[in-house]
Amino acid sequence: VLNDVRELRLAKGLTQAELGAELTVSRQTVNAIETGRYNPSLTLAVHTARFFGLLVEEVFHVDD
Amino acid sequence: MSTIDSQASPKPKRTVKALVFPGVLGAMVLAVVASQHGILRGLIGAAIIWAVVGLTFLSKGRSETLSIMRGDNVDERGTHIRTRAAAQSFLAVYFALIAVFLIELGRGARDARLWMFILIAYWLIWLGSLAFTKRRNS
Repeated sequence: VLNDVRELRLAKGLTQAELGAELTVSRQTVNAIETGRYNPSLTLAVHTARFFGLLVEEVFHVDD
Repeated sequence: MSTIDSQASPKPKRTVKALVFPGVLGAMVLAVVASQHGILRGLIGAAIIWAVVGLTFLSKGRSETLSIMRGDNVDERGTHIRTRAAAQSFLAVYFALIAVFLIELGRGARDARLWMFILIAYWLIWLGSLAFTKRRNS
């Protein structure tokens, strides 16, 4: 699953640690999501999308 | 390309006193008991191993691996990693038991029965865990 978390985070001027604090996950988890090494749970994906004011499918993309 | 921000995660809370004092007290009691039974030398080796484990737990490093092992502020990814690591450790021990069982068979089956029972017990625990997990997830 590809995602735009990194671009969205940088657009908001946040560090990985700050975004992690907002989503109550570690900085390493944010890094793992951004680099595609970890696919977040549905709950975390929804929280991430809501944080950016977007829908899940606008943040996370399945590469068909 | 990934970029790791320089900002590190907050330091986990430690309960040094809560861990060290009971540990020292327990070690002293064990040393007295062991010396009375003449097994003090054997105990020293075990104590060194436990001391290394204890120091790893109390280490002030910011290693994520140690943090996950200690269970400090573990998020969903940490839980996922812990679960996978536990499963892999279980499988490693399982295959080690099979290897020991086969070696014992090859050496004349002197202790093969014991290892066979341990292997069966291990397998039953696995089966029970699978059934329990399946029930919780279905």
